[in-house]
Amino acid sequence: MATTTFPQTRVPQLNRMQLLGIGAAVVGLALLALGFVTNTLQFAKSYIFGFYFTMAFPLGCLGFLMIQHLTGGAWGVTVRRMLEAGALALPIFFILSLPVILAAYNTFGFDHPIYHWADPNIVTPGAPEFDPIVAHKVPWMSAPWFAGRMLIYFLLWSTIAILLRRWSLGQDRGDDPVAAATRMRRLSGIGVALFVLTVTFFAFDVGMSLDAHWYSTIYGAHYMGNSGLTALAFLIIALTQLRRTATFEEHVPVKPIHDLGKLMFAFTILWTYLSFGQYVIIWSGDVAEFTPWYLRRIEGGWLFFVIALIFVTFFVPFFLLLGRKPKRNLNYLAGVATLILAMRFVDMMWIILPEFHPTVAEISWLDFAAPLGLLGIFLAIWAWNMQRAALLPLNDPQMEGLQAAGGHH
Amino acid sequence: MAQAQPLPTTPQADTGDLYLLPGETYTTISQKIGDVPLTPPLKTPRGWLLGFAVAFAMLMVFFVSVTWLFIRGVGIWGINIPVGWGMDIINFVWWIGIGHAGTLISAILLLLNQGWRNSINRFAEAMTLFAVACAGMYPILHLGRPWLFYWLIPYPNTHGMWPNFRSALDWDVFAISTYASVSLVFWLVGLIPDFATLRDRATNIWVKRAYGIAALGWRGSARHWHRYEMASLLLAGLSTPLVVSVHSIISLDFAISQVPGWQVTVFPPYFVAGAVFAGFAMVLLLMIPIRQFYGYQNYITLRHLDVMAKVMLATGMIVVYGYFMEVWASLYSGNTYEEYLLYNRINGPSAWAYYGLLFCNALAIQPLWFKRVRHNVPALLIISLLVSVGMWLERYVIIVISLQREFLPSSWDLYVPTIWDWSLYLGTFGLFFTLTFLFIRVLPMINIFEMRLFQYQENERRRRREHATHGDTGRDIVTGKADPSAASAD
Repeated sequence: MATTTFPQTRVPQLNRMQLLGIGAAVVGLALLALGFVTNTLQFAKSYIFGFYFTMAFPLGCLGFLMIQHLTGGAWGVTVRRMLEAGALALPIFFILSLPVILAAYNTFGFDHPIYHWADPNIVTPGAPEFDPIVAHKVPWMSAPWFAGRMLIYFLLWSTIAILLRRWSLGQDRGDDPVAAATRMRRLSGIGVALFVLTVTFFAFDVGMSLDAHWYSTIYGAHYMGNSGLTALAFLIIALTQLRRTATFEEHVPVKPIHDLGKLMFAFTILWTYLSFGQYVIIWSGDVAEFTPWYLRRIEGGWLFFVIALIFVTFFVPFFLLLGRKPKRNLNYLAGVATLILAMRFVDMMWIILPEFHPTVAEISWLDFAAPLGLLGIFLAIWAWNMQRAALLPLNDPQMEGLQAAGGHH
Repeated sequence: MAQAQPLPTTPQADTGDLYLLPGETYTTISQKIGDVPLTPPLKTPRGWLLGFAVAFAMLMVFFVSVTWLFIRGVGIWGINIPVGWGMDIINFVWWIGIGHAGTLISAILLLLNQGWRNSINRFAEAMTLFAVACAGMYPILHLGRPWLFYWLIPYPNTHGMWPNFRSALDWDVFAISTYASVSLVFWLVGLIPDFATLRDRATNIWVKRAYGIAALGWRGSARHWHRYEMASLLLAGLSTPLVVSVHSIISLDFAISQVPGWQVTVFPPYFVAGAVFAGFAMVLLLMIPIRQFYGYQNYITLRHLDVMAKVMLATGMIVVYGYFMEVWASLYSGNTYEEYLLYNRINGPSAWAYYGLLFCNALAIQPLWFKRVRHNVPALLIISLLVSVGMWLERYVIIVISLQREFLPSSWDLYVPTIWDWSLYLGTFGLFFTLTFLFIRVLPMINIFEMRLFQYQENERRRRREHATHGDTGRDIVTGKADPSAASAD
């Protein structure tokens, strides 16, 4: 086998991104610390929001990592290393989930725990605010089991991410690339099934159970769609930096960029489809159990979020990405991706924050500090991992597809 | 080139990694596919005649059932109050679901540059149209006064009546009629170059004229091809949302109500996945015998069966996810009616249907994880059959079990289909298979010109591989993979 060993890549662009990440992390965490001291309750709420928003990055990376192993294609090898680097942030994010778990335990001693199912006043029979429906959920929704599930999720995701990375690096070092590709494909097959299940419950646990009464069976799929869109937008923005490296200039033609643009377009529509589907079913059904979730989200200033979501999350990117030419222009795509990422932030705000401020759209400065800090950590880990391997899996059989797509030119 | 000379078919070893077995040329492709419709009537294969006779007899059952329905009304069916939707709506959803594989293959796979679709898209699209024809019957027959079906269409009228635009049933009218018309146009446009091939190959002057008229003056000039490619790309773009929209809207027929087991937010994507799942099962169910009968194993290879089985597994797992979400929701909800729904499904009078669907749709597809099973033709046939049954049971579970025992125990009632429910169902099979048999008799069931293009692309790919340097392991690492450079559409 004509195997080459690839030197560790020192790419100035990645270095810069890592510094940017570290900077954002330091600023964000400092602000979070300040918030913790001054207003612990708001800190906990904002942290849950920030964590839920930021988790979409590594989770989206892991999801696409497995999907591209299963489907193949030129776009897959192009971004594989970026996906691996992103998914490898998951073990660290387990540590970062600690404040959420502590909130579930109500360690900070709030009068009303953020997660209502953790409130003894609500779930203990005979207690003043006893709520039988919430109490019914206690076998599932209890702090130890919540923490246990988090452990299971992160253990599973981290194992998959680490194995896929190890086998992929094995290809670089000269392991049989076909055997490694088969191994990765097999793990991804079963991995996707487990991923879908665990991400669903992750979304139920962290996001949906903030309203302990309400449930929607599409909630998990919606979060997966959100994660996919988030990861795609991130990849496209990061590609604007990586494209200037020698490896990418030599090997990556416009075709995979075009494909990523198409995927981002498709996920924009998917997000709209899932969001609208949930809305039309709940609103038409008009059942007292379900509709309040939406009522809370059109009160006060939240209605402006809805309008922004309809137009700026769907219509604007839809028309911006409709044509063929725009999808082949990376800078243009990155512009749209930035807009999409900003709207992911707005969407997650609209989904999470009305649980804390139902009557009026109230946004704390901590709601910006938490995502900033966590996103900075993600970016730093990502860039750090990117520098520990070749930028493209050059020995992988799928590279031939990339070359056939015009990589020589 | 004379017609109807059966070609010596040399059996090729199909190792399961090629989409087109070697040894095919433009001529053999045109001949093997084009000769089937051009066979003179008297030389029609006996097997076809027999199959057509059976299908036609079943079509007569359809006419008898419909006539009796027109005379007596929907009372001849087993529907009652509370179960106002019975087999009519079950079969409607079942048939329309089957059509989705065709649209997915013809539209989405075209946009995704999946070259392998070329040998199955024509057939799958035809199946779509026939399935939609069967499906479309049911809501109309269920109207009670089916001859007034045009009242569903909003038009200015002296009654001063409009359809209820807030009803998902009215959305169905638009969804399905759009679906049927776009699919038909797409299919017919795709047939034009092949009509021209048949026109040029036909020896009988009348046959020549008939195909000639259908070919709309196609001469195969560069301009014709350019416009053709453009048109099919645009039609694919139009059809793609239809794959998702039609079954999503059908799911809303149930989901926008308040019935436990119907108001489920996961319904739209779960119905769409179920539709594609059932559709691929039906494509396999029909393709496997036909490729055997007409000797098309070179075009529809094991690798095709393998990918179709993978699509079936993937969509099946989404459906299983939907089942799981339903069970989880009723346990989590803390709502009596939701809890009772689950209890009723696993313990009620129709529990057999629920267990049946779990067996057929969740358990029976698990062997598809293994390549050995995906390459085993009889096993695929059995699994596809089970999936088709399972998807029918799914609709039975959703519709009948939820309605049999709604909120008030005093209004509970059982649903028992009558002979006329079953005969109408059998009759729609007659309609479906009669149309299918006519289709494979008079139209090329595999796309001739796309197969020729595909043959060229495969040869190019093979040649490129032989010149490539990375053959050290002696293994062919890109065998059969869709080649992004050979894009027919971008």
